[in-house]
Amino acid sequence: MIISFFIAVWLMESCKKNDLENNPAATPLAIVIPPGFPPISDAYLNNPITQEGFDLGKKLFYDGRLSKDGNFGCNTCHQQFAGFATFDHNLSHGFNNQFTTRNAPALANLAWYREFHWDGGIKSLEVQPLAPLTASNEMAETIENVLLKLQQDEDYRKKFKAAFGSEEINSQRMLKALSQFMGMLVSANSKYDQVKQGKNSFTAAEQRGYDVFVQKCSSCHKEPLFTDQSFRNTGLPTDPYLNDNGRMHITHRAEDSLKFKVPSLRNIYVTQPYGHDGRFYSIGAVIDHYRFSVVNGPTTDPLVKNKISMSDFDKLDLLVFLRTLTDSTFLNDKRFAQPQ
Amino acid sequence: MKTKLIIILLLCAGIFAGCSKDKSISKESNQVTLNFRLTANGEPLQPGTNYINGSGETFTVSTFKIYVSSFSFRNVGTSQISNTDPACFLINMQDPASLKANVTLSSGQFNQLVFYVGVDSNRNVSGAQTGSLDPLNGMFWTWNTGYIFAKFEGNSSVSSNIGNSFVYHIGGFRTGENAIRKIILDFPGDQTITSGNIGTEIRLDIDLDRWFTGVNNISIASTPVWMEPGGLSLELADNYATMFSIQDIITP
Repeated sequence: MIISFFIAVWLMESCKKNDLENNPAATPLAIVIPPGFPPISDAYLNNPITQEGFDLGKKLFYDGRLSKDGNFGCNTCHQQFAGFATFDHNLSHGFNNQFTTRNAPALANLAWYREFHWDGGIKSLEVQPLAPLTASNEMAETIENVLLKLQQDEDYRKKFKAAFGSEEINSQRMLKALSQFMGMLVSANSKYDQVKQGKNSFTAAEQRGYDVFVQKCSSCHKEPLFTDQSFRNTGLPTDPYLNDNGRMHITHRAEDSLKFKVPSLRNIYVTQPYGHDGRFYSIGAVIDHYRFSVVNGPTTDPLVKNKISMSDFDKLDLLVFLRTLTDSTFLNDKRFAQPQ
Repeated sequence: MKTKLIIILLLCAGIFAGCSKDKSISKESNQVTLNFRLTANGEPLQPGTNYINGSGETFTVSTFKIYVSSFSFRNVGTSQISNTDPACFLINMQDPASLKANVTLSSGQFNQLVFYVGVDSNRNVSGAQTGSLDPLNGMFWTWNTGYIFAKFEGNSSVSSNIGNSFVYHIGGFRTGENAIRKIILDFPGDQTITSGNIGTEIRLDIDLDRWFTGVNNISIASTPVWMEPGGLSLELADNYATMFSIQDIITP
């Protein structure tokens, strides 16, 4: 009788929402909201960040064992020196000589995002890693197997205990730790940010470029995140091999055909190539697409339908301005670097 | 005095049901056991056995998993309702232990069982979860955040899919794609459960024939594979809602 009550309680407990509790001895860490930034999302209300959770998440992020053959950690496609995008690759390498089907997004300021992936199919950062982990052309693993590998590592057992209070290694703890690490990747100390805070000033060319940016780009690439997180069709002809209809794949609505999430422009000088399939190998090529090559269809965004005209001088100034979005402290921050 | 005691008991049961962190459930709480039996073609479901569906197609079953959740009782005549036990359970053909679930419900006079097939929309977007909702259970779409409510896989010679397999992963919780279904089942023969449910066992059948015929006619040959919200997921959700029936209620 008593046992069955305990079972009843256990079963009731067994699908509660998010009852994970941190190790009470863990050191709290906060995402510092940079001046002028909006509040972060609610994502960390039931996943409070601690130093220990962050350290565990970082170890996981840089661990190739999360992939089938040990070669593909998260950091393989999300490289710090490239703003946590894949440097110089339109698509990323995955298991067994395969490619991904979309360009790896740069990871910065994720705590402000509501949806993830180019098509917004991911509604919580916590569950995002499940996609590359289990995709046969990416890390090609199973969750069971990953957990088995972690459980056999004494350092992981120690780190799980430090973060969550016991050595139990389960998917929820692993995913929350990863989310804690990723949430701390805040990029807000570029020259642009320093100018905005009155600590630095633009050169004349940078200022002119900023003016062009505000006038012609900022409706979609809204400051300070440099994205308004909306989904738009920017008139890119469909690649016949990839045949990617973007957000429509998620919502099944015709009006979402060929729409992709507006990416942030932060650190854009190191995150090349550009576009959901990485088809642009320079920022100049992207700008020229808007100036000359927009292909109009039923869902093409009104803001680009008539193309975005600018002189060659404007374009050069714009390029100079965009360089001010490079945040060297972020790209070199030892806190986010591969653990030694 | 007796009424006051009953009221206090009801209040306690209500508090226990809603407050999942409370581990001190007393002997007076009302535990009901749900005993599920999977059937096909009128007999208990066996993996590997040949069955025939409503379209005359012969098939075998290799995987059948389905989420049921949020159980409560009600009385059609008096409109009395019990608390709702929020727990969700993953019934898995391959795991006999999963065919039995315990819920805690307040006492009263009831003649209907109410529950849901699927996972509520809130839990679909609440991030990483444990227990029956652990992504380890293979019931979560990694590319389109949300739970697979029902997974039905097997083989049929009429299937054009690889290895003659058929694969149905049914889910979806957004407006226009909602595959969550509310199930209301009358107790057989006007039976009611009164004044305390301790030791009560409700035996339910899940009839897989109705996966193919419940409301819409589903043919393996026409559509051997479906793995996303909307479209066939909606048709199959209407079908799977008809699979459940109460065979028997055992009261102590």
